[in-house]
Amino acid sequence: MMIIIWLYVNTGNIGVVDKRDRMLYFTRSYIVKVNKDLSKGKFGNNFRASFPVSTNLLEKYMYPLQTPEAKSIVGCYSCTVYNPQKHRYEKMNDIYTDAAFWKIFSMRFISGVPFNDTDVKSKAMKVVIDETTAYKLFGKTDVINYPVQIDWKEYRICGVVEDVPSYLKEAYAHIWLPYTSGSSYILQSGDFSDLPDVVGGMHMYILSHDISDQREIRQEMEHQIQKLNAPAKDVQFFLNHQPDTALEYLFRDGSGHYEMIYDKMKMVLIVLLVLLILPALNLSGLIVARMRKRAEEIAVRRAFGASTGNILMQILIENFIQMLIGGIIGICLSYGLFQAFREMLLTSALNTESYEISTLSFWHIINFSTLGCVVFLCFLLNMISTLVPAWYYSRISIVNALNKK
Amino acid sequence: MITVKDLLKVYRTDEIETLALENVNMHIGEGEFVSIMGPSGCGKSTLLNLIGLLDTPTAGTIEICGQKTDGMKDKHLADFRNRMLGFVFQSFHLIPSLNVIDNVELPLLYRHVPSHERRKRAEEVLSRVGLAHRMKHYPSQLSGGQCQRVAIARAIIGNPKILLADEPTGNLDSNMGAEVMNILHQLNKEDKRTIVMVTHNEEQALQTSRIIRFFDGHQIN
Repeated sequence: MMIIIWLYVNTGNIGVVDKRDRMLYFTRSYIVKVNKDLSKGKFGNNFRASFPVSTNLLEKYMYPLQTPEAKSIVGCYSCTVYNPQKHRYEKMNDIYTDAAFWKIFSMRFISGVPFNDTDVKSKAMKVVIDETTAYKLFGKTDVINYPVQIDWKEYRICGVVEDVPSYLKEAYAHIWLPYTSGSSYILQSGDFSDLPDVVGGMHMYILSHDISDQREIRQEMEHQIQKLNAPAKDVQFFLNHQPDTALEYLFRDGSGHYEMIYDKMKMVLIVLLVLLILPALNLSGLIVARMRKRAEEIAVRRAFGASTGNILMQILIENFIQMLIGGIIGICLSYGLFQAFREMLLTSALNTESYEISTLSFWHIINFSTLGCVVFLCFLLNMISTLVPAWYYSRISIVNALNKK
Repeated sequence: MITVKDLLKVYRTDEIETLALENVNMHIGEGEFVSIMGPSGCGKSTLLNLIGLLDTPTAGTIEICGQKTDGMKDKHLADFRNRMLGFVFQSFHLIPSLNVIDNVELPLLYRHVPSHERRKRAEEVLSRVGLAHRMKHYPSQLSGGQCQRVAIARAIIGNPKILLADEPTGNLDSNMGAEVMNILHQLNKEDKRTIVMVTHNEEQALQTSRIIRFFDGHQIN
């Protein structure tokens, strides 16, 4: 259950990240030597480096993409903010981004509006802050046009949004600023051999109109990268199967091995299977013990006209109904346990702060898809544990069972 | 009605082979009430199980109502048992988790008879064995004689042509045993039902139309 919740919170449409199924992630630049076969994603000695991407590359090659509904440049950092109430500087999480960010994520504005394209282009010193930060800095949320000092630069607050919990890592911050207003170290680009200005500190979230568009977006990106690579002789920029879906993004790292993503997915699957098979074996033992007690009844039913198929179905249906009843009791118990221990259970599983767990309600994460997934796994577990004993006992010798041999 | 030819039944384990029946040949006509007698372990119950298609012979053939039973597939076998045969066991073998009427309805359940029809017929047969007032009771709430009467009701609800009774009075005192025998004779005479009964009781066997005797797996007469 915890694995399913963890997967759902990281890959499902949840909270302000309610379009994850349509989102693609372009987060890393992979630099490799030229003229090598890269089709399998294994670089070996050809691999040179993996970095976040530069604003230059994203503006020049990714902003022109036509297929997506929205493209947003994003850089997650931490900043120093002056607290006028306490007269001291505080560290906070910030996101440097553009106007498309507000289209991709469904932030709820308590007051004000987000910065727009013109603000971003004009390097406007505007900022959106979250509710907690507003209270922390000013003791209220009605703070539009208030000045705020971030990294020793003065910004004006243009909007206040509801807090975003840290487990929604794509959108989580306390402060959101136009990326063009960032310091030089935010915006800097790095050359890599003869590829100029490709590595930096940013990445891009892409929102497709429809899931079916994603293939076309990939092709368009590949085409753009070909343009980027055209003049390079020593090294090439390699997308390495990017942009990622939310699931791929969850497992991607900077190692450059695309297979690593699937190795990690396999690992999660194996853990899930082990967690499934162990109770299935245990349950199977319990079912065998119960069937042994009911062997005489099975024999009587067969003597009076039940076929082995009838018996098999009866056992499976009985166990399914029991599973269903058990499942309902389990959900009720889960609800109770979730309410009682959710901080303890979720802070480590979601790598988040305990106070943020309060934003996750039981029905927030146990929605129909999660529930469906859990019910399917339970059904699978029930099948695995019941099928073998049911098959065996539906074929027992009637005479032996009646004589209790 | 029942024709048995050259029947052989051998029980095999890893170490030993036990000859349960050998060279059994018999014919039981429609409407007969036949007793099978012999000492313990002579193969009486084995024969009844083979005729009842609860077990398979090592060799030989059994023909019931003109139909050869060897090689029948599981589904056909189950259907044949359901429609042609009714069983009464020495230790009743009622399902303890079901009440009397549900136990009696059991054979009709596998014949896909609608529930109201099942209930109606179960009430009829329970009235016939004098247990209409015990329909909602569970087997553990009944006496041995009452359990056996429920078992008879279950055996006849599907109106099978043949009733196979394996020591039906073996677990009952003489009065209850007599009551059960009366019901069996009634079923034989009034319904012209063929009955094959395994018994140790000479007196009860003498009341039937024919006695077939066994000794050490062989038919004597």
